[in-house]
Amino acid sequence: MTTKISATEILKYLYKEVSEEEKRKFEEKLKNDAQFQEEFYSFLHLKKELDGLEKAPSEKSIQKILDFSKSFDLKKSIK
Amino acid sequence: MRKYKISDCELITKYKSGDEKAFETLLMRHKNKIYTTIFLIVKDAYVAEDLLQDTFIKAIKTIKTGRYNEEGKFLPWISRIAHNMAIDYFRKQKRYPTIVMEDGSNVFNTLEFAEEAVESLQIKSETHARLRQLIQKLPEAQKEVLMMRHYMQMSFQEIAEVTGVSINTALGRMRYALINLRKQMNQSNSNFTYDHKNLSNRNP
Repeated sequence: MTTKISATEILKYLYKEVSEEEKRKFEEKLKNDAQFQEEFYSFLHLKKELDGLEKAPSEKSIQKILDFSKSFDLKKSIK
Repeated sequence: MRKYKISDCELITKYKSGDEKAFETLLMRHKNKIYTTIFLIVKDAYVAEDLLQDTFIKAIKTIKTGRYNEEGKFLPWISRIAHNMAIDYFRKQKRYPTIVMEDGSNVFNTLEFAEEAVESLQIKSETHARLRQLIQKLPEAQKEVLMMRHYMQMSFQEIAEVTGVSINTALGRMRYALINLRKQMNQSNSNFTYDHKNLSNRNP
Protein backbone atom coordinates (compact mmCIF):
# COMPACT_ATOMS: atom_id res chain seq x y z
CA MET A 1 0.00 0.00 0.00
CA THR A 2 1.43 3.38 -0.97
CA THR A 3 1.59 6.01 1.67
CA LYS A 4 0.71 9.52 0.59
CA ILE A 5 4.19 10.69 1.59
CA SER A 6 6.08 8.18 -0.53
CA ALA A 7 3.93 8.84 -3.60
CA THR A 8 4.51 12.58 -3.21
CA GLU A 9 8.25 11.98 -2.84
CA ILE A 10 8.23 9.87 -5.98
CA LEU A 11 6.33 12.48 -7.98
CA LYS A 12 8.67 15.28 -6.93
CA TYR A 13 11.68 13.12 -7.79
CA LEU A 14 10.31 11.98 -11.14
CA TYR A 15 9.53 15.54 -12.16
CA LYS A 16 12.90 16.78 -10.87
CA GLU A 17 11.49 19.05 -8.19
CA VAL A 18 13.87 18.00 -5.44
CA SER A 19 16.97 19.58 -3.99
CA GLU A 20 20.32 17.76 -4.19
CA GLU A 21 19.92 16.68 -0.57
CA GLU A 22 16.37 15.36 -1.14
CA LYS A 23 17.60 13.59 -4.27
CA ARG A 24 20.39 11.87 -2.37
CA LYS A 25 18.02 10.75 0.41
CA PHE A 26 15.48 9.52 -2.13
CA GLU A 27 18.05 7.44 -4.01
CA GLU A 28 19.31 5.99 -0.75
CA LYS A 29 15.77 4.96 0.19
CA LEU A 30 15.22 3.53 -3.27
CA LYS A 31 18.26 1.28 -2.92
CA ASN A 32 17.13 -0.18 0.37
CA ASP A 33 13.35 -0.40 0.23
CA ALA A 34 11.87 -3.05 -2.05
CA GLN A 35 8.28 -1.85 -1.65
CA PHE A 36 9.34 1.69 -2.43
CA GLN A 37 11.20 0.42 -5.52
CA GLU A 38 8.10 -1.35 -6.75
CA GLU A 39 6.06 1.81 -6.33
CA PHE A 40 8.75 3.95 -7.94
CA TYR A 41 9.12 1.79 -11.05
CA SER A 42 5.38 1.58 -11.47
CA PHE A 43 5.15 5.40 -11.52
CA LEU A 44 8.24 5.64 -13.73
CA HIS A 45 6.72 3.22 -16.23
CA LEU A 46 3.52 5.23 -16.38
CA LYS A 47 5.46 8.46 -16.81
CA LYS A 48 7.27 6.91 -19.77
CA GLU A 49 3.95 5.88 -21.27
CA LEU A 50 2.73 9.46 -20.90
CA ASP A 51 5.95 10.68 -22.57
CA GLY A 52 5.17 8.34 -25.44
CA LEU A 53 1.81 10.01 -26.00
CA GLU A 54 3.55 13.08 -27.26
CA LYS A 55 2.44 13.80 -30.80
CA ALA A 56 4.00 15.87 -33.53
CA PRO A 57 2.14 18.45 -35.60
CA SER A 58 2.42 18.40 -39.39
CA GLU A 59 5.30 20.05 -41.23
CA LYS A 60 2.71 22.20 -42.99
CA SER A 61 1.60 23.79 -39.72
CA ILE A 62 5.18 24.42 -38.67
CA GLN A 63 5.97 26.05 -42.00
CA LYS A 64 2.90 28.30 -41.73
CA ILE A 65 4.02 29.47 -38.30
CA LEU A 66 7.56 30.16 -39.53
CA ASP A 67 6.19 32.04 -42.56
CA PHE A 68 3.94 34.13 -40.35
CA SER A 69 6.85 35.05 -38.11
CA LYS A 70 9.00 36.12 -41.07
CA SER A 71 6.22 38.17 -42.63
CA PHE A 72 4.94 39.76 -39.43
CA ASP A 73 5.34 43.46 -39.93
CA LEU A 74 5.86 45.22 -36.65
CA LYS A 75 5.21 48.69 -38.07
CA LYS A 76 1.91 47.63 -39.63
CA SER A 77 0.79 45.94 -36.43
CA ILE A 78 1.37 49.11 -34.43
CA LYS A 79 -0.65 51.32 -36.83
CA MET B 1 13.64 19.50 -17.00
CA ARG B 2 15.82 19.07 -20.09
CA LYS B 3 18.89 21.31 -20.31
CA TYR B 4 19.65 22.92 -23.67
CA LYS B 5 22.84 24.58 -24.91
CA ILE B 6 20.94 27.81 -25.49
CA SER B 7 18.16 28.59 -23.05
CA ASP B 8 14.68 29.67 -24.12
CA CYS B 9 15.40 33.05 -22.59
CA GLU B 10 18.46 33.56 -24.79
CA LEU B 11 16.56 32.42 -27.87
CA ILE B 12 13.80 34.93 -27.18
CA THR B 13 16.34 37.72 -26.77
CA LYS B 14 17.86 36.80 -30.14
CA TYR B 15 14.42 36.56 -31.71
CA LYS B 16 13.48 39.99 -30.41
CA SER B 17 16.49 41.38 -32.24
CA GLY B 18 15.37 39.79 -35.52
CA ASP B 19 16.96 36.34 -35.45
CA GLU B 20 14.32 34.13 -37.11
CA LYS B 21 16.54 31.04 -36.68
CA ALA B 22 16.28 31.50 -32.92
CA PHE B 23 12.51 31.37 -33.20
CA GLU B 24 12.70 28.26 -35.35
CA THR B 25 14.80 26.56 -32.66
CA LEU B 26 12.28 27.54 -30.02
CA LEU B 27 9.40 26.26 -32.13
CA MET B 28 11.08 22.94 -32.91
CA ARG B 29 11.98 22.52 -29.25
CA HIS B 30 8.45 22.87 -27.92
CA LYS B 31 6.03 22.14 -30.76
CA ASN B 32 5.28 18.54 -29.72
CA LYS B 33 4.51 19.33 -26.09
CA ILE B 34 2.22 22.21 -27.04
CA TYR B 35 0.53 20.24 -29.78
CA THR B 36 -0.04 17.31 -27.40
CA THR B 37 -1.54 19.62 -24.77
CA ILE B 38 -4.02 20.99 -27.31
CA PHE B 39 -4.76 17.60 -28.80
CA LEU B 40 -5.57 16.05 -25.43
CA ILE B 41 -8.19 18.75 -24.89
CA VAL B 42 -9.83 19.02 -28.31
CA LYS B 43 -9.32 15.39 -29.38
CA ASP B 44 -9.18 16.30 -33.06
CA ALA B 45 -5.90 16.42 -34.97
CA TYR B 46 -7.08 19.03 -37.49
CA VAL B 47 -8.45 21.38 -34.85
CA ALA B 48 -5.28 20.89 -32.82
CA GLU B 49 -3.15 21.90 -35.84
CA ASP B 50 -5.20 25.10 -36.25
CA LEU B 51 -5.02 25.96 -32.58
CA LEU B 52 -1.28 25.31 -32.54
CA GLN B 53 -0.87 27.88 -35.30
CA ASP B 54 -3.12 30.36 -33.48
CA THR B 55 -1.13 29.84 -30.28
CA PHE B 56 2.21 30.57 -31.94
CA ILE B 57 0.78 33.52 -33.88
CA LYS B 58 -0.32 35.04 -30.58
CA ALA B 59 3.12 34.36 -29.09
CA ILE B 60 4.90 35.87 -32.11
CA LYS B 61 2.82 39.05 -31.88
CA THR B 62 3.39 39.32 -28.14
CA ILE B 63 7.15 38.84 -28.40
CA LYS B 64 7.69 41.01 -31.47
CA THR B 65 5.68 43.89 -30.04
CA GLY B 66 7.74 43.78 -26.84
CA ARG B 67 4.93 42.64 -24.56
CA TYR B 68 6.54 39.36 -23.51
CA ASN B 69 7.80 39.60 -19.96
CA GLU B 70 8.02 36.05 -18.63
CA GLU B 71 11.65 35.49 -19.47
CA GLY B 72 12.99 32.07 -18.62
CA LYS B 73 9.56 30.47 -18.52
CA PHE B 74 8.59 30.31 -22.14
CA LEU B 75 7.04 26.83 -22.16
CA PRO B 76 4.62 27.33 -19.23
CA TRP B 77 3.67 30.72 -20.72
CA ILE B 78 2.93 29.48 -24.24
CA SER B 79 1.33 26.32 -22.87
CA ARG B 80 -1.14 28.46 -20.96
CA ILE B 81 -2.03 30.30 -24.18
CA ALA B 82 -2.54 26.93 -25.88
CA HIS B 83 -4.55 25.59 -22.97
CA ASN B 84 -6.84 28.64 -22.92
CA MET B 85 -7.38 28.51 -26.68
CA ALA B 86 -8.22 24.81 -26.53
CA ILE B 87 -10.61 25.33 -23.61
CA ASP B 88 -12.31 28.21 -25.47
CA TYR B 89 -12.70 26.00 -28.50
CA PHE B 90 -14.02 23.16 -26.39
CA ARG B 91 -16.58 25.43 -24.71
CA LYS B 92 -17.79 26.76 -28.07
CA GLN B 93 -18.22 23.21 -29.30
CA LYS B 94 -20.32 22.39 -26.27
CA ARG B 95 -22.58 25.36 -26.95
CA TYR B 96 -23.02 24.48 -30.61
CA PRO B 97 -23.47 20.72 -30.79
CA THR B 98 -21.65 18.98 -33.63
CA ILE B 99 -21.12 15.38 -34.58
CA VAL B 100 -18.47 14.08 -32.24
CA MET B 101 -16.84 10.71 -32.66
CA GLU B 102 -16.90 8.59 -29.55
CA ASP B 103 -13.49 7.16 -30.27
CA GLY B 104 -11.06 9.50 -32.02
CA SER B 105 -8.60 6.70 -32.66
CA ASN B 106 -8.61 7.33 -36.41
CA VAL B 107 -6.78 10.59 -35.91
CA PHE B 108 -4.34 9.18 -33.40
CA ASN B 109 -2.16 7.22 -35.75
CA THR B 110 0.13 9.94 -36.99
CA LEU B 111 3.11 9.06 -34.81
CA GLU B 112 6.26 8.20 -36.66
CA PHE B 113 8.14 5.08 -35.59
CA ALA B 114 10.13 4.46 -38.74
CA GLU B 115 12.37 1.68 -37.48
CA GLU B 116 10.02 -0.29 -35.29
CA ALA B 117 8.42 -3.61 -36.14
CA VAL B 118 4.83 -3.44 -37.29
CA GLU B 119 3.56 -5.58 -34.41
CA SER B 120 5.29 -3.51 -31.76
CA LEU B 121 4.02 -0.37 -33.48
CA GLN B 122 0.49 -1.70 -33.35
CA ILE B 123 0.71 -2.62 -29.66
CA LYS B 124 2.21 0.78 -28.85
CA SER B 125 -0.44 2.55 -30.87
CA GLU B 126 -3.22 0.60 -29.11
CA THR B 127 -1.70 1.32 -25.71
CA HIS B 128 -1.43 5.02 -26.49
CA ALA B 129 -4.98 5.19 -27.79
CA ARG B 130 -6.25 3.52 -24.61
CA LEU B 131 -4.16 5.78 -22.41
CA ARG B 132 -5.52 8.86 -24.17
CA GLN B 133 -9.06 7.63 -23.62
CA LEU B 134 -8.31 7.00 -19.95
CA ILE B 135 -6.89 10.50 -19.53
CA GLN B 136 -10.14 11.90 -20.90
CA LYS B 137 -12.07 9.94 -18.29
CA LEU B 138 -10.11 11.33 -15.32
CA PRO B 139 -11.90 13.80 -13.03
CA GLU B 140 -11.37 17.32 -14.40
CA ALA B 141 -9.12 18.50 -11.55
CA GLN B 142 -6.82 15.50 -11.92
CA LYS B 143 -6.68 15.79 -15.70
CA GLU B 144 -5.83 19.48 -15.41
CA VAL B 145 -2.87 18.88 -13.07
CA LEU B 146 -1.62 15.96 -15.16
CA MET B 147 -1.60 18.04 -18.32
CA MET B 148 -0.11 21.09 -16.69
CA ARG B 149 2.72 19.12 -15.10
CA HIS B 150 3.43 16.59 -17.78
CA TYR B 151 2.86 18.43 -21.03
CA MET B 152 2.94 22.10 -20.08
CA GLN B 153 6.04 21.64 -17.88
CA MET B 154 4.63 23.75 -15.07
CA SER B 155 6.05 23.04 -11.62
CA PHE B 156 3.71 21.82 -8.87
CA GLN B 157 4.11 25.21 -7.22
CA GLU B 158 3.07 27.02 -10.42
CA ILE B 159 0.09 24.69 -10.84
CA ALA B 160 -0.93 25.38 -7.26
CA GLU B 161 -0.83 29.14 -7.92
CA VAL B 162 -2.71 28.97 -11.23
CA THR B 163 -5.43 26.66 -9.92
CA GLY B 164 -5.71 28.34 -6.52
CA VAL B 165 -4.91 25.30 -4.37
CA SER B 166 -2.04 24.35 -2.06
CA ILE B 167 1.00 22.56 -3.45
CA ASN B 168 0.03 19.47 -1.47
CA THR B 169 -3.39 19.44 -3.11
CA ALA B 170 -1.77 19.78 -6.55
CA LEU B 171 0.58 16.89 -5.72
CA GLY B 172 -2.32 14.88 -4.34
CA ARG B 173 -4.34 15.37 -7.53
CA MET B 174 -1.38 14.29 -9.64
CA ARG B 175 -0.91 11.27 -7.42
CA TYR B 176 -4.56 10.23 -7.81
CA ALA B 177 -4.43 10.88 -11.55
CA LEU B 178 -1.48 8.52 -11.96
CA ILE B 179 -2.91 5.91 -9.60
CA ASN B 180 -6.23 6.01 -11.46
CA LEU B 181 -4.50 5.72 -14.82
CA ARG B 182 -2.39 2.83 -13.61
CA LYS B 183 -5.41 1.03 -12.20
CA GLN B 184 -7.41 1.56 -15.37
CA MET B 185 -4.47 0.54 -17.58
CA ASN B 186 -4.06 -2.69 -15.60
CA GLN B 187 -7.78 -3.47 -15.91
CA SER B 188 -7.73 -2.54 -19.54
CA ASN B 189 -4.66 -4.76 -20.14
CA SER B 190 -6.39 -7.74 -18.53
CA ASN B 191 -9.48 -7.22 -20.67
CA PHE B 192 -7.29 -6.74 -23.74
CA THR B 193 -5.40 -10.00 -23.11
CA TYR B 194 -8.67 -11.79 -22.37
CA ASP B 195 -10.25 -10.50 -25.60
CA HIS B 196 -7.25 -11.53 -27.66
CA LYS B 197 -7.20 -15.01 -26.08
CA ASN B 198 -10.91 -15.44 -26.75
CA LEU B 199 -10.48 -14.31 -30.33
CA SER B 200 -7.61 -16.69 -30.95
CA ASN B 201 -9.55 -19.54 -29.31
CA ARG B 202 -12.44 -18.98 -31.65
CA ASN B 203 -10.22 -19.41 -34.69
CA PRO B 204 -9.38 -23.03 -35.59
